[in-house]
Amino acid sequence: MPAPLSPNSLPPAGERDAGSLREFHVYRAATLPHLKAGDWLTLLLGGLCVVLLTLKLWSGDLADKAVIRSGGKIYREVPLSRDQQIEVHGPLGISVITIEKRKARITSDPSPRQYCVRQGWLQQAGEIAICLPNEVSVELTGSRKKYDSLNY
Amino acid sequence: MTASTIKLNTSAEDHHIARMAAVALGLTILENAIPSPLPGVKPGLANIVTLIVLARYGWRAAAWVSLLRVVAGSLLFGNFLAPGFFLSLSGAVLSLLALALAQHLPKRWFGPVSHSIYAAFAHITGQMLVVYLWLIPHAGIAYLIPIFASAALVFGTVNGLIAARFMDNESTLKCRIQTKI
Repeated sequence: MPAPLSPNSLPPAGERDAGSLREFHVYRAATLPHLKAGDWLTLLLGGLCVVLLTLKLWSGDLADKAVIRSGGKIYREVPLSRDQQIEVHGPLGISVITIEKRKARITSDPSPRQYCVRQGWLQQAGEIAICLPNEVSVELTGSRKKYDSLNY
Repeated sequence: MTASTIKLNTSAEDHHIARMAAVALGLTILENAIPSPLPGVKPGLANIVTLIVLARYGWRAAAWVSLLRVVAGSLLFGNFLAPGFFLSLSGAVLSLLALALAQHLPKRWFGPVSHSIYAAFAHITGQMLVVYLWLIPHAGIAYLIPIFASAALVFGTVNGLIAARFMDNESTLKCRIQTKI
């Protein structure tokens, strides 16, 4: 089965005798890889695809909100993009939640064992700090529902 | 005990596919010797063979070459039915599906470079699906998608250019022979 000849590599019939032109065509075919109009379009589409994917997936999509609960009910939902401190009143006193550089933590809490404070910064979607005695919790969420553990 | 021989009837096309798959296998081994900056990012040189077979002998032959390469390659590297094998397989299958569609693009405007880019994107799509649905069901792998997509674009283009160049050289050679006659 003969290989299909690409139209660019074979000079038009009228020019076959023109030696120099033919040489040029041969040279061009051998050195310039053929990118047809559609190939450029594909390249452009591919590039666009990569740029959009990068913007979408690398713009902090993974954890972009902190959900603060008090007494089991959602107290506030705050974006991680703005640094701020939030005070939440619970049955024992005030819990202070700090949001800084797209991370969140419970800075102070009246709980006796300080578990939620010692947990430190939360960064990934799905991470959660719970102050049980004061009934305050902070959970980070992304745009999608996450697994909270690996499972099959 | 009498020695019995099993005779397989093979056609010329079978031989050709086997030869092409062997070439693809050689490229796979060559590629494995090249250190990769990031695990999973590979140029996929064997796909050059798939592209050429697709252009010359059609999709069916290309599918044979590609799948034979995946299975034989996994036997050579010893990861048959291991996660790596399923990653290759899913990538190859989705690439072939993309090629099945891409080959119907008008030949006047679309060449092997387009085929290669579409196949490369389909390839990472297949791999990411296997990774997400089976190996690492964690949304964190989404972070890696832009890296893999960029690699697909770059290597897809390069492989397509190599395939186009290779086929051009051939037709140029034919053109030379024809004009000399």
